Amino acid sequence: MEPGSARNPLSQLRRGVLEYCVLSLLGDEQLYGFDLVRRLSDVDGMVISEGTIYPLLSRLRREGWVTTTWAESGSGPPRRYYAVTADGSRALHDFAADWRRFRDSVDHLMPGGSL
Amino acid sequence: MTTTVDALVVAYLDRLNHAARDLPPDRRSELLESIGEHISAARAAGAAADEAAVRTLLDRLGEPDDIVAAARDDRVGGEPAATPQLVAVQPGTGRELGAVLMLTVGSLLPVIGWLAGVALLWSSRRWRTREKILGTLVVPGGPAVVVLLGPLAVRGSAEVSTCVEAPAGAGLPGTVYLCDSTGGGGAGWESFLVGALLILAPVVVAVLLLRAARRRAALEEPVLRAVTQQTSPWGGLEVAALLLLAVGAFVVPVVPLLVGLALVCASRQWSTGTKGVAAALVLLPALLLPAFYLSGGAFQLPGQEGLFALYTVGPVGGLLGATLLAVTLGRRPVASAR
Repeated sequence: MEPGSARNPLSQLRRGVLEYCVLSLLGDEQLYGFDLVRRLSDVDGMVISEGTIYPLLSRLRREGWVTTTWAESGSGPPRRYYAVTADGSRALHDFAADWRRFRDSVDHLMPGGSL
Repeated sequence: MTTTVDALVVAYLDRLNHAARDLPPDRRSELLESIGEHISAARAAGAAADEAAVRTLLDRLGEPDDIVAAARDDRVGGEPAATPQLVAVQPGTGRELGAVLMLTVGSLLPVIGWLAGVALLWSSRRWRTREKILGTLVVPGGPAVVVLLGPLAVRGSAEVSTCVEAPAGAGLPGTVYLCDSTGGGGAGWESFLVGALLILAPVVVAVLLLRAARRRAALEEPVLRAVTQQTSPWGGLEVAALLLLAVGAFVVPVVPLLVGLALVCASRQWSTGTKGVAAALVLLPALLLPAFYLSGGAFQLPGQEGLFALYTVGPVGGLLGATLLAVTLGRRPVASAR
């Protein structure tokens, strides 16, 4: 199965967790869109289509979990900085707790786990 | 070369713009801005120096359709968007009922009614071709045509009529001819039999066709329909009824109105109150006219005008009733299902 094919269960999972990964990256520092996208891409298997990160960021902004500010960039026109909000941070930490529990349970059940 | 790079970028942004054409305008412009920004940031960072680099950059961005699909997605936190409630509904036989009705009763509206029935007959997917041929050939024009043309056919057989103008002053309205027919067969029992057969046969065929259609419809897969979607109240019954009421009486007095009203009463798409008002609208004018004649004396209308009145007032009542019914049908509340 290709990593991007719709039937791959991981692509479903990825869609579900990607926004929390974005929130986490932004939790450390505000980032330009381009930087954020590249950092995500650097992590193995997280990004299939970089362009889809931008709609995701828009959704997060509409949800109130991310804010955007314009900042002068050294080279060229002002660019958008993305930053996480208090609500977004709370959502991220809730998810992180759920995720660890979930991840541990699945690891436990998978072959090679401590079943 | 810079121009190739620019050309590639412009082409990509064009595709993106096109893919996003049906997004809400604010989302579309936001998306185009962000992607544009990404590309210019990449170029500023030196990641798009030559054609190969730009192609890689655009590949990594992904297909415009995928990006726009993500922009349509309103989910946050992994919750699915609200899916419309779906309900399985057994497909109905409205069209087949309409066809059968128009082929039989609808033939009271000469030619047009029967042709409407034929159109519905052939457009149904629940009848085989030979069944459709049967429905068309038995009887062309429908049973009412037999009623209307039968007497002509019967009389046409070697009949000699001598007609004499009635003497003026005999008290009869207008000019009347007194006719005396000699010879000719008249209406023998054979013609009656043929006539009866020609009327009954289409009815029998219609019933059989309808039953076959219902049987087949029951075997079909239920259709999934969103609960919020209105099921149309316009069934075959309603269409036939309204056609007969609105237009039928313009050709054949009174009878189409009565039949149309009967169909209206049989339908479940109107409240009893509406049906009552419609019946009054339809029947009152149509019955007033014969009443005029029967009452004699004071309400007499001179001949030609009397006939004219009969032929216009009656149908107008039908038209009024049909209009009322059509308007109330369109405003039916969604909640009441068939």
